[in-house]
Amino acid sequence: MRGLMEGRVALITGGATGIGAASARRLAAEGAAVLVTDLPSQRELADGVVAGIAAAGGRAAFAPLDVRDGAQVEDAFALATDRFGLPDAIVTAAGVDSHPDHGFSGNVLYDLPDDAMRFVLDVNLTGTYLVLRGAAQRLVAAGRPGTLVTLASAAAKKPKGGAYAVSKAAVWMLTRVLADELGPHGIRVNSIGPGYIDTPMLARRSTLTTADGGPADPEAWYERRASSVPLRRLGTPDEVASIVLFLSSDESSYVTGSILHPDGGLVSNEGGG
Amino acid sequence: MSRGRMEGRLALITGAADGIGAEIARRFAAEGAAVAVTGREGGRDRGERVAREIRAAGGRAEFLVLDVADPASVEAGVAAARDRLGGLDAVVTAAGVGWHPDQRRPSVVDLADDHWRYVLDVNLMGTFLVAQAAARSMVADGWPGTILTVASVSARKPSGGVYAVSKAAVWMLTRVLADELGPHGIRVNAVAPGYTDTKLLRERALATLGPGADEAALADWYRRAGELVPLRRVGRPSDVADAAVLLSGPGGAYVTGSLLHVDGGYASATAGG
Repeated sequence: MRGLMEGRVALITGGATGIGAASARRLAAEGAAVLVTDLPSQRELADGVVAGIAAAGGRAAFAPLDVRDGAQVEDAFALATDRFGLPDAIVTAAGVDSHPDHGFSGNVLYDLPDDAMRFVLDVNLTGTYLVLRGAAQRLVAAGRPGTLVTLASAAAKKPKGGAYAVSKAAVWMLTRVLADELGPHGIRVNSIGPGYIDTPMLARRSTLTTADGGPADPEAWYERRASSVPLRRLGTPDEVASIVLFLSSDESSYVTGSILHPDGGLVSNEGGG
Repeated sequence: MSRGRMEGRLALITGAADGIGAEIARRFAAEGAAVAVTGREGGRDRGERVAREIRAAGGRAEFLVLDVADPASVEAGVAAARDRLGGLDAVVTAAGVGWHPDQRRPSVVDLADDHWRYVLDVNLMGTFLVAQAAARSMVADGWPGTILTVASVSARKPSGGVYAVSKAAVWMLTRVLADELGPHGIRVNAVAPGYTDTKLLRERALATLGPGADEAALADWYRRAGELVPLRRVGRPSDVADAAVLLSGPGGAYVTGSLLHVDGGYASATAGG
């Protein structure tokens, strides 16, 4: 039985954990060769993802990549091309919700230091741009079709989370601009706007102290998030990876410039749909 | 390629004698669903042919009369489908019209009351009645399920007069239902086709071209329509069926209250995304 991603080469940023890791496994299971990229500090986790894919009979490799650095982006494409062929299925899952020194609850724009704002925009927006541009330039030059999938967020449409929301709204517009530019070349560009997904990023947020300075209560925090969405539960990384697969495969061959929300109904209720 | 993504599902599809509805019926059946192919009495021949084709391919299907503009027919049709299939857990509301047959101009300002009401009766009330009956059936059985409405790029773009009004309302109806039914495990989403090669589009092209238009003129109209779209072509019903399987099947497990544009990038480029 042929997989939906047979013959494709995927490059995934932020592939060591969470949505990126689930996407790497899913695309590999459908036949793609996958370059899993992430920060050098995530190497051990990323190696685990690669080993898991290999154990399941798939093809994968790791490359260190800080998406803020254009030279590293070039190196990652060179490595992927050398190892597997020209990447034609890009998933930009690398992202941060805040500067580590300030934290998500410190994401109050009017009070945010320059470096905290710039950090979030550098990783989420510029990092996404550098990777997509690297892919698009190579695909257009080669006359090849391909798919680019960005990870936006429910926060692209809901103004909560300060710098994070700003960066994700910009990622969504970046996706649309590139969809318009690259459509005539047969390159489709789409976005995913997940809601509350059970990932390490969300786990970190759940352990933050409450807004009024009270102690963190992760269980209550998760419960509040779950009960706030129509489906009454958090989503899983695999449920986002299903959407990554759809948008990367020929099953979405007439879909571009679109955003799909695996969010249990969050954006429909609170983000204008 | 994962197979049987609609295995064991009991589906009712309105407007299934032609175009997008017929293609979704075929695809659901190919993915393992038992399908009630429904349509107006006037479309019986074509609807029965769709059901016959599905059975010939080894699927389960039968044609049932269901006129979405007639509340009694909706009640009888949904009851008959429940009876024949043994329940319902996957409903698609594909029945729709672009304008009243006697309507000459698209302008809302020029519209006669009964022409306005006709489009709303079929597109909006029809969707409401079928979705409501289906939701009651699923909630009564205590089953999870999916409802998929067919909106349009016109849900976001004010072109097409009352058609656009009706489709924008269908989109909000979808979101309201997603909010109400999420706690019951029933997901409600919309698919929004752009230019899609159906009878409706062909009729619209012929209406625009005027009497005496030949196949060459029609092909030229399609080519020009395709040029408005980033992917530079008109879509196919099968493109919409792919999205219907995603949103109705396990791949869309955490997606509700979402609208997926299957339009080659048209809404993103021209209608706010």
